[in-house]
Amino acid sequence: MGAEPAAIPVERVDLLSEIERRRNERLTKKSKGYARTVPIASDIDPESCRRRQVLEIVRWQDKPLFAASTQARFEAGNIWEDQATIALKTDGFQVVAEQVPFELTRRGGGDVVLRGRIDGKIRWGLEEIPFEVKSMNPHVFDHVSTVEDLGRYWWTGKYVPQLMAYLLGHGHPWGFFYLTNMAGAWKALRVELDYAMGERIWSFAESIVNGVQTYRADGTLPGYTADPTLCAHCDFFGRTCNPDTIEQGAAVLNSPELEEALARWSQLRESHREYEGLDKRVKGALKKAIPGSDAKALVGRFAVTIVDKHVKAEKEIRGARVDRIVTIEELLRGDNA
Amino acid sequence: MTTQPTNTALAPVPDEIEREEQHAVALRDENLTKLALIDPDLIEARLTAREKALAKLREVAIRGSHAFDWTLYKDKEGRVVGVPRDSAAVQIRKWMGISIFNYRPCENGYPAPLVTKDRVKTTDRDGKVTGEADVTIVEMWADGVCSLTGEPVEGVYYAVRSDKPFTGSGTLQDLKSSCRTGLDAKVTRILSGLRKVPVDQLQALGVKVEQSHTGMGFGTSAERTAGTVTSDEVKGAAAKLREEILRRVGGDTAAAKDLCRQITKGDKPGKDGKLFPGFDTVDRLTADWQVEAAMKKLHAHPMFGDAAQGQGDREPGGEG
Repeated sequence: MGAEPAAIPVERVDLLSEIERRRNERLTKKSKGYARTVPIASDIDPESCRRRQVLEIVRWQDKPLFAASTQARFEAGNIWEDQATIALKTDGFQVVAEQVPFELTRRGGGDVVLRGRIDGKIRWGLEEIPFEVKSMNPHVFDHVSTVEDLGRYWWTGKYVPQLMAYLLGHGHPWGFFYLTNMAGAWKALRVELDYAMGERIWSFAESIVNGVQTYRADGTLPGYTADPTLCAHCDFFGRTCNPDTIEQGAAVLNSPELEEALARWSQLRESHREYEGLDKRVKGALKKAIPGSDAKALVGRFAVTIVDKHVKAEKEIRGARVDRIVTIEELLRGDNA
Repeated sequence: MTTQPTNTALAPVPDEIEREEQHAVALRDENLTKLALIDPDLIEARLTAREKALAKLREVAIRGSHAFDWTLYKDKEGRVVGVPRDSAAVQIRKWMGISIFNYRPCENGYPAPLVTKDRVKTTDRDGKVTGEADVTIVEMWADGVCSLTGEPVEGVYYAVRSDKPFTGSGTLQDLKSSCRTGLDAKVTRILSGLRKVPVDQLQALGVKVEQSHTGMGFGTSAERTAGTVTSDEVKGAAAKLREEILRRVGGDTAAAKDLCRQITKGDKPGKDGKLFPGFDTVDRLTADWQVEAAMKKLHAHPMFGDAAQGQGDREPGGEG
């Protein structure tokens, strides 16, 4: 039988506040820093900051502990990871090698440069296919349909290098992600072993270990990242790492032609929007009112013809890509200063 | 139509923000003097071009910000003004090309804030010394320049102390992080000129100021005690609450302080998982909702509440 937690009479404590307090206390206690000794597969994006990767090992204690809410999210992830394996087994798949660790050593032999732990493998025919379970917010889940889509968010961008490291470590040509939105929906994404990326990951891991050795020898850290956007979500920024903040500022283009064209663009934009809306509404109404192919009609002073036009099937589905989106905002209407 | 926040419950603009303004004016004068020595004719042309570019860039930077990026205060003239927070400073820097560098001091060749310890006397609300406590002070300096105006600023100083409010869980590492972001924001405010933006201007540029942070809890303890931060209405309600607390504890000031802490402590743990321990005086209450919540808890208190005192649901003073 458990002891009463405090001398305060139970009836004086608000139950709902107490539930929240105990939960936060439990989660906060579970949030602990841990010493990373070598690079890990779940954080081996070769595009990440090498300085941070070295700090993760040599100054791991400078990182803030996870907030109770983040710890809770990790717990939810673990629950769904277990659930995935249970569901796969329930559906008759043979899941083997659950949570099996692997290591990559320096090429040519030597010290360990990367460690990881795979969620599991499915025995399928003669193959044992590595898989990694990832739980995600339903909003994110809905935006991920291909492996390339994982590059959309900075935190999911780490997933592909992670699985790639597993494929390298286990020597298997392909594996898959098993994604869940934690609300009952699942999707599997196949990932082929990309040897070029594998090479980058391995080299990066070696360079991190080299950086750790250099730091331990003479206190020198790798240079700051060339991509300052990485600093925005780096736990070491401002704590252990203080890079310069360099901003170029807005480019001031001195182009009267471009400015004139933009002025015209601005002038026409409202009319264009109105036209687009009307075009859709008018043509929709006409299609509804005039059935049949090669149909004709008169509406006041307007002659209308409707014909069927064959549209070719799309040859291939377009993959994920990064578009440069231009947003134009008129600041001061009519101000040419 | 958007509603403008009332300025009655807002704290005055913090002293450090006021000092930044003086810093910026001195900086501009110094640079103009230097420029005049080179070519006096350049001054007017440069000023005109710079002010036009700055006005536009400030407008864009404000438009690109969110209401949560601003904290509202009351300036010396009683107007409500918005001071950009760290999050707004990030956008402002990008638009205006504000670079910050030469962070110092350095430790083993790398910039690292200066960390010192101090032992200070702790006092209660009446200024009576209650003991001593260790305080950690984290300080940093940096230089900055705005690439679009060419304006430099040197040796900007920023410090955080563990006994002052700041965002974070209170660890040394969090103090360091807060010092860095605070320093960056300070340099940005100085170089951008966006220090105290009138709330009307923010609203005109699409910022929904009713969702902005308010500077409650800022200002010095003395100011709060003197009531300069708190509206007359809130002060009146707080005075009523004080009387009621004292009445219920029979005038025992120690018991009154303890009761005040109990009825003002937090119900829910904060982000750090800790419960707010409460105030030992009603003078610390600066908003009507704080007084209302405390009064409600006083009525429901297991020992000093209405039920315990046989008052049912009657309001204080309504005993007849």
